[in-house]
Amino acid sequence: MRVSYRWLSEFVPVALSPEELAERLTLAGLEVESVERPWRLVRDVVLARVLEVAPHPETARLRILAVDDGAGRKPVVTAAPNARAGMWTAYARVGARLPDGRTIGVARFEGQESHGMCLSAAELALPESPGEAGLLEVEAEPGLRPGLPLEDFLELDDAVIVLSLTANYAAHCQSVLGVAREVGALLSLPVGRPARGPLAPEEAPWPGEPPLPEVVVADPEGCRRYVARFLTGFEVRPSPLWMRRRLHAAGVRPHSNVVDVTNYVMLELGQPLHAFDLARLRGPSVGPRAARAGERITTLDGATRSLQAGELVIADGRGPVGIAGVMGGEETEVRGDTRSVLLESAWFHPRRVGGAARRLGLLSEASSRFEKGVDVGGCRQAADRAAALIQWIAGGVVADLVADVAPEPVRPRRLPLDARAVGRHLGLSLTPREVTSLLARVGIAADDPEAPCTTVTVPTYRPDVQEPVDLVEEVGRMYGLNRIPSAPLPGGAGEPSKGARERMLSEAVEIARAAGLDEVVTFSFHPAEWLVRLGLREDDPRARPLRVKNPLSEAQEVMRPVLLPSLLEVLAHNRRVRRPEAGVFELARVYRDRPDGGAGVSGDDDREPAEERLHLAFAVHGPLAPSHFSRKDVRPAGFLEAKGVVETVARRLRAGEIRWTRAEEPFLHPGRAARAWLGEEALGWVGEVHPRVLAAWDLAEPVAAGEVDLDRLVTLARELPELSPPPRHPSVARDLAAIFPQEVTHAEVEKAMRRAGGELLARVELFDVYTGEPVPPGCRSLAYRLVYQDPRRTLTDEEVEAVHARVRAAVRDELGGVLRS
Amino acid sequence: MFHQVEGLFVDRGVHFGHLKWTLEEFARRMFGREVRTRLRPSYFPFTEPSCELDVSCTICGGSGCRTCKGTGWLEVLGAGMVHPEVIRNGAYDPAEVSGFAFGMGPDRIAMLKYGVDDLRLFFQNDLRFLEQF
Repeated sequence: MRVSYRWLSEFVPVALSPEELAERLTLAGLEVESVERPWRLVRDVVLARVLEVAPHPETARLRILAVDDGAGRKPVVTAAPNARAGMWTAYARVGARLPDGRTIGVARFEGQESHGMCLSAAELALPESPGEAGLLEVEAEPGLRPGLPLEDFLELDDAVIVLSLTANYAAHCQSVLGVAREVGALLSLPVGRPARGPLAPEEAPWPGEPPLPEVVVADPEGCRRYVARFLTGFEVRPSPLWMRRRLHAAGVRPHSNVVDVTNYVMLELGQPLHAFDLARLRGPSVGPRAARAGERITTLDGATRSLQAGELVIADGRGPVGIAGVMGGEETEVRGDTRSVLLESAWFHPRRVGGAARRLGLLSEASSRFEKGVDVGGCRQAADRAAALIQWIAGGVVADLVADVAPEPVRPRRLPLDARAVGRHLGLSLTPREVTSLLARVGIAADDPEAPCTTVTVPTYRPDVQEPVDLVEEVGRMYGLNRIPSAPLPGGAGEPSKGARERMLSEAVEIARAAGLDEVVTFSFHPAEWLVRLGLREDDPRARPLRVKNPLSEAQEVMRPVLLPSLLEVLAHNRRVRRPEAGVFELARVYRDRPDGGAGVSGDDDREPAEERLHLAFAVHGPLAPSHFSRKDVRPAGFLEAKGVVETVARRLRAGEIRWTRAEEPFLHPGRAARAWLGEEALGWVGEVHPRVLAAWDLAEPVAAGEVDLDRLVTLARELPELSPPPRHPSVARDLAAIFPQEVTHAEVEKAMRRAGGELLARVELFDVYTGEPVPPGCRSLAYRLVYQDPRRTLTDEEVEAVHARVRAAVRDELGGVLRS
Repeated sequence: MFHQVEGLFVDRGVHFGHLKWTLEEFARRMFGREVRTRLRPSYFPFTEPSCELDVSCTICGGSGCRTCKGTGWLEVLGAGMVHPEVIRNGAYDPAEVSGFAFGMGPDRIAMLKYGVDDLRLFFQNDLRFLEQF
């Protein structure tokens, strides 16, 4: 909503500058987006009269004018075709400034001096009227004199206050009058009447032709009130410059005087109006009714539209002549030869207008006002004002007969008011008098202003005030929300605290950070193609993710069932910005469709919702720790580092020791992948990402990654460690090295050792892995330190030898290890 | 991506002053003791009265800059007293029980707190940005 400050000032005598007023409006809930001053720079532009027009001696393209600017006769060279002696126009004196910042001086055109310049509408940032080419033409009217500053005459000192209205103010603030009422309420100023033009027409008996139709409201649900005024004998031409300027400032394009007045009154009073060419309406009756299926209308944009049954139309004796509140018909449109009109000012149902406007894609200033609710009590006032303005600027006769059809009497809403409850809700102790006088400022009148409980009358221009709690809002707004004293909550603010689960999750983040990883947050949606890149088998549930029904773009097709692709994308992005060494992790949810593929999508769905699990995933390209001169052997993170991250997280969350098995994930490097278990619970996977997958993201090898079900991990985690005193008896260490076939995993070796060593085998440490000479190809040497201990006593050498021999035998016999020592 | 943090406080005798204190306390803890606050009436269908909380600009301190568009204020969150209909739908009697609610985008709060004017930086995951935290 764009409000002219000058127009507003006609209604309410504001002493504040436009910027100060904007600040007050914003604090009262009418958010001001900006204050525009389109003519801010204009200086020394005055009204002038063209005295003579003489040909240019050198060129036929130019002419030389003699103009009177009130300070003498000035020669002005112009190319404008419409220049003629006697016309009034805008003249920029030498030294004048234009809206675009240009300064005007003395110029020579083909040898002829021009002192200053005569201006077009465009050069003054004013709307051009159709057919007007060249100089701005100011219609002669009493009081014009050469030298009159245009700032005053055309309100070029005006400012446009651009409001962004929330739904509750939308209805009553969509007009200059509405905003004026708010300003009046805020600043305790009286709201008056507009200064330009009369409020009511001079009425006369109808001349008889064309005959007046009867106005009938056949759809009382869709139309609570229909006012029609009848005008004839006016002349259709461009409207005066001041009106065009105001329309332009409000963002409405001028057409002709009759149409411009309907728009002008809509902007001024908030009531959309429509003028039908009366001579083209067919009787016997005209009025709103529900459209019948299959009815058609050609609207004034030239399009022929099929109407749906029940849509609200204005129809004459033959059929629809307009879509109520949306657009008039082409047939009855006001044209240059129109001599009489039916002027409509009505209340149409917000949803009926909104529905049709939306279906037809014809949202407009008018439809949006109907949709928000026009003042059913103001239809007649708007019709009178518009008839009066047309008569004022275009002449003609206004019939003394007015159709004002309201199927139900229009009555203002009545609401109960409990003044104390209002105060209690706001945290104020207000007397009934204080409450009712605050309400009186917004036009809400109490039956008994002193009574604790009374009834109030809400003006019809406030359709948003519907129930008692709306009165609380008005009182709070008028009192000022910032003046309401703050009250601490009972119990005070306290300190933020986390539950056990939140503490665990924070700890998981800290552990991952301590491992040298950076936390990232990525999108829950991603392209379906990312899953294809992983090469998941068809029976893998992750290959059938939850699909978004109407994705905004390809990038948001699916809800991710696995975090890895998002992290690879992060690594790829960092590689593109030449930050190839990156280790990142993310805590986020993954989504799984139900096994039957029919997950519910929202609360109003009977089906089970999709399964959501919290995952922790990481991916590392390059070394886990940054390179440093003190560490000569920094190498890119691989399978072992990935395992280490998961083991550290599990251990530090006191979830227990991870058990590893071989993993067969299609997106991991075969042989450098493992599945993590806690007891019998599958936790996730780690490994090096398959080169084929890396190629799809344009990444180089290796990328170490892992992804675990953090929900499960946290369930198994313990907040406190289970403590036992350190052993009092010494332990004994023995080393064991053996050559194994490549496919034998460390996990298998450790398992066999522990089974053979029993409870005396306290610790198993793999301290060396070796391939190459003299180890045969396809094999590797694993070297272990085994620590034996009995918590109850000191072990003898013989006992240690016995158990160590059993471990050696197990390695040899069960796994085919060739012992090296 | 869309993040939202919401709060709801319901009890006997809860009034607008409680909401105001809570929002002010939040602003002080999030942006510092010296921050100034103001409330502007606004509209949300589920609260009445509704308001928005502005804090004095975290970049210029209120003198006016590009971030606050010269106003000296930054919009931080929306809030209001829970609409009686919502209380009723929650099976309480709005004559006995009242409450307040607020909601905010943590993304925006982060932008204001760290003086970052491009939200995308938080989601691009460029380590040259992330490692500064």
